[in-house]
Amino acid sequence: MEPVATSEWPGTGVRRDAVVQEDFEELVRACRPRIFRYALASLRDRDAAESVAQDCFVKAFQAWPRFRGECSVQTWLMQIAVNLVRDHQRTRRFQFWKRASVSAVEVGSACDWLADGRITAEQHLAAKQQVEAVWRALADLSERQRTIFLLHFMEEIEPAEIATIIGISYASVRVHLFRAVHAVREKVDRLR
Amino acid sequence: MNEHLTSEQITRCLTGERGSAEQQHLDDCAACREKLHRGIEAVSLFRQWYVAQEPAVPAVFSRPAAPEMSSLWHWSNVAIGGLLVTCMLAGAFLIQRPQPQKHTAVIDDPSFIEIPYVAPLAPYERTSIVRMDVPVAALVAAGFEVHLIDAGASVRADVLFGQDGRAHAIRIVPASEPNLERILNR
Repeated sequence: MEPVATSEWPGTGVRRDAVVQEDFEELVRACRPRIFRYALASLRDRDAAESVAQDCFVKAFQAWPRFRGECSVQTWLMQIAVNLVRDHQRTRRFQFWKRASVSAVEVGSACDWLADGRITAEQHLAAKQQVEAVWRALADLSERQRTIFLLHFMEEIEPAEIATIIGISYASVRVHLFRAVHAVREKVDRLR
Repeated sequence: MNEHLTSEQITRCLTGERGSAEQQHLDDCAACREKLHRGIEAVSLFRQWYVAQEPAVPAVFSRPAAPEMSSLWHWSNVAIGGLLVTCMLAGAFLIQRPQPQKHTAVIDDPSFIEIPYVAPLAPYERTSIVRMDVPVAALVAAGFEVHLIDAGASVRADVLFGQDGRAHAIRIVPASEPNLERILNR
């Protein structure tokens, strides 16, 4: 049996030959929250994350005709987002006067994000403390370790695909992932 | 029972590198299972917070009017543009700047006679003109051909001196010289 060429990018509902604006808008709607969340967890600044998410799709729109489909469209978008976040972090290193950002992220009340709403107030507090511990641990990680941690555990991307996105070897991804998880575990264990 | 798993081994279990020995130990050891569960729970809670984050601005994409430049690229272009404009202005200023007048105007005056065998004035050298009585012998020594019987006589003249005190040109004052053409023969 001959393989049937699908006319859509897997998981997006967007046509492969989509260059028209309507199809691209569909892609934006499908993928923007992921890009935003990754940028938010990396940059810890809502405004910057919004801006990176927007820039990501502007760049993707411009490069769309050149996209050859060698990887999934999500991988390609995430690759653009990783590069944008990296550029943003490098630029921000020189903007030391902007470090105390007004749009910095706070974990907030656990009630807002906990999936199980039936737990007690003590459990809410413990959950919040654990999330804050992970959040602090991520801040202390290197840029690469943080990216790999977020892509693997939050975006559920396999190490082989992360290697493609970041442009490093599979073995390096595993090493960075191990170090990141170990650092996070140490921070969380200190809570006990 | 075997020794407990090390912290590194538990981390490896979390990253999906769980070997059969570690799995066997985890099945038997509640303490190590608890440590592993703590890590999984923390990551899981963080993920719940993570997925709850939504962009505030609605997803509206419009075709970009012009290619977007990164801010670094943008500012480097501005810097290069500024440098070019500065260079052009500096060039225009240097071209338009009035050139300093050379001190050849006096020597070009036909009434002044250049003293032969003297190094010419530098372009911007300061000069001064001194009226004095010049011995005829000095004129002869300077290389002028003088048709005058009394070699001890002197003539009144304006002498042009350079900055270093050397005489560069001479102008005989007509009142003291009845027939200039007769005395000096260029």
